[in-house]
Amino acid sequence: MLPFTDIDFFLFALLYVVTVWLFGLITHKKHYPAITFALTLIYFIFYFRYTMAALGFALVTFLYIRFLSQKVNHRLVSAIIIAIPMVLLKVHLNPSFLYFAGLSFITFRAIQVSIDYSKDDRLNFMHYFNFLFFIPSFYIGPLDRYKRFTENSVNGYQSIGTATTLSGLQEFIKGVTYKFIVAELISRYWLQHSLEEGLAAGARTSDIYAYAFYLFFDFAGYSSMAVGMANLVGISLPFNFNKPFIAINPPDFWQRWHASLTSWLGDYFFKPFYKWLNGFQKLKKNPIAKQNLAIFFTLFIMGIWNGFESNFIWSGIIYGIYSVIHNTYVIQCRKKDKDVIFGNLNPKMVKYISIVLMFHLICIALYVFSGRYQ
Amino acid sequence: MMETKNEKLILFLKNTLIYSAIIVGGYFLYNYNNKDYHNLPHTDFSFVYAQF
Repeated sequence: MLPFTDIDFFLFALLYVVTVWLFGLITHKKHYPAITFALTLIYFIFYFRYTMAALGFALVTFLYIRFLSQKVNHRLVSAIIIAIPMVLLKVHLNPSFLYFAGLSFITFRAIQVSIDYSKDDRLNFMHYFNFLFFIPSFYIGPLDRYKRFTENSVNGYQSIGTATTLSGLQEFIKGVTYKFIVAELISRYWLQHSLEEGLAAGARTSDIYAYAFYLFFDFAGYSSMAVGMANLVGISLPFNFNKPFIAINPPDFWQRWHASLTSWLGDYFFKPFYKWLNGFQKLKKNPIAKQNLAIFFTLFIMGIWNGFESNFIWSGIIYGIYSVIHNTYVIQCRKKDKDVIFGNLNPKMVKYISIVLMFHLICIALYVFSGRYQ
Repeated sequence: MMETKNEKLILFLKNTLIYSAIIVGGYFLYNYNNKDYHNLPHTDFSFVYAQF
């Protein structure tokens, strides 16, 4: 049952929302986490193919974070231990009993909890489970934060009201339009379906733009449906997409494209990695190189977390190069106290040129990511 | 938060566009007479489902 695609999932989603509302009436708006926990278990028992692997992962990581992670000196080691099943999956070595759909995003969530966890926190299995497997965002995000999600979940019923329901419906309908109408139109009538060698340059160029728009409407549509469904049950998930094709530079693009993952990587990879680089004497004297290294590897991870296939590796390298060039440009501008590329050109003009340039660079990077050039 | 007249108009136009797209696009793509090879939403190229 593919989330937000198969009719079965939509029926379950409807049942989920109605049941949460009904239990709110029956229990006088209490026990929200217990109700969503029970509904997720029902989903696991009747609709999910990988119940045992998912439950096993939740239980083992919970026990590890709760009782062992404090004994492991370095938090990075904890993160690596939790990521083992995901890495095995990416190198196609994953034993089937360890695999379940949505493993990558569940791993990101578990790593986040393990890094943020301290002895003073009382990690509760039900809250942890709800956070990992919250049905609307379970498979592909958006990625939330444990503390924020749990606080929201404890007061879930207080957040359900006319305004959130209407905005949830609005977001959901927007997602349906993006995914089932716009992305579908692009997929059927614009994307090249046979990418044989020797495809004419014009057709290839058209395919580059088609894929960028397809990916955006498909993924943003999925995310909007997830955010909308979550709103209907009183949970505010972070947004994932915000007009990414009008980004003026790479950092701006990553704030607008898959923003919840960008923020996750910023907090749980970039910052600790940058700190770790401080330990190198040579880099201490060269902060620009240190910054660029941290930026490059963060964006490189943005590409390769999808897998170790060449298209993902190359896309990570391209994302990294774009951002490093931009960072160097910003530093040079600051040093020389002027725009080293555009000089005294009208700022509005600079903005428009940047948008056009960035748009084309994004389309090329996403096309490499897609692997459709091979 | 009070919305200005302009913002209200933009929101109205945006919503009209979304609902029109659903009705017209939905009919065009998924009606019974559309004999396209794949008259169902498909996921062949979807990054989202690369995770499954």
